[in-house]
Amino acid sequence: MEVVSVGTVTDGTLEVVLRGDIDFTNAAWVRSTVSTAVLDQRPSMVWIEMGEVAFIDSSGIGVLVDAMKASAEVEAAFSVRHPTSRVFDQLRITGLLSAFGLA
Amino acid sequence: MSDPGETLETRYDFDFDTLVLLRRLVARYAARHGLTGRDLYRFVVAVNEITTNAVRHGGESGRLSLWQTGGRLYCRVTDNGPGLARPDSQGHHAVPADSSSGRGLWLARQCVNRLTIESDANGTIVTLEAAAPQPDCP
Repeated sequence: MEVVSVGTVTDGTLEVVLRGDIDFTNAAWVRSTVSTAVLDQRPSMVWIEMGEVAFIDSSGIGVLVDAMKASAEVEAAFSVRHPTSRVFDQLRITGLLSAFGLA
Repeated sequence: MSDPGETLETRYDFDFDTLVLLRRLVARYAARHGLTGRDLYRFVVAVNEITTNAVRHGGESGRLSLWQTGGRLYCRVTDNGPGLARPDSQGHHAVPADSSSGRGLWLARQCVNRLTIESDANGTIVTLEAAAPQPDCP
């Protein structure tokens, strides 16, 4: 399974599924895949499904921030969904819960 | 010979291609030495940020050592990069939510009990310390 899969826009929502480990070694690829999809498809809402992400580092968190910024550029609402409790803990430490719609 | 229960030290050399493998080895070592659940995950997050920094900014490679003593687990990451200006002042504040980068050292500092940085023109040494409760201890 790829670490990132991008769906097609359904009812205005683009769902991006991330899986496994998102880290410095794959962040550039994941970033361009997600940001390109958001800018090309211009949805009104972007969901990043994180339920299957086992590990994320600061580079991976940067990918989420860039996805949020790409969403803002096309005026789409943005949310990160179903992070595990450990990933949630990291997003809390980095002060991103409310920006990611998790607060 | 070192005393096995106490401070048996494990060392690995690493670079970009071995970052992920190294992370798994660190997780296995930490689990074997008493870290579980969120504490285990946080330790691995912290070490991974430092090894990644060594690859990105510290001359593309580094050396990692792990050992345990006195109910504490230690990890030291050494690189031969150009060093870091004012290392003690870095990574003490969270960056703004819209910043694409700059979270690594902050995250690492929050995820362990203690993180120290020594740096000069010959490289950087980062030491991380986590409480590792030993189930065998009274």
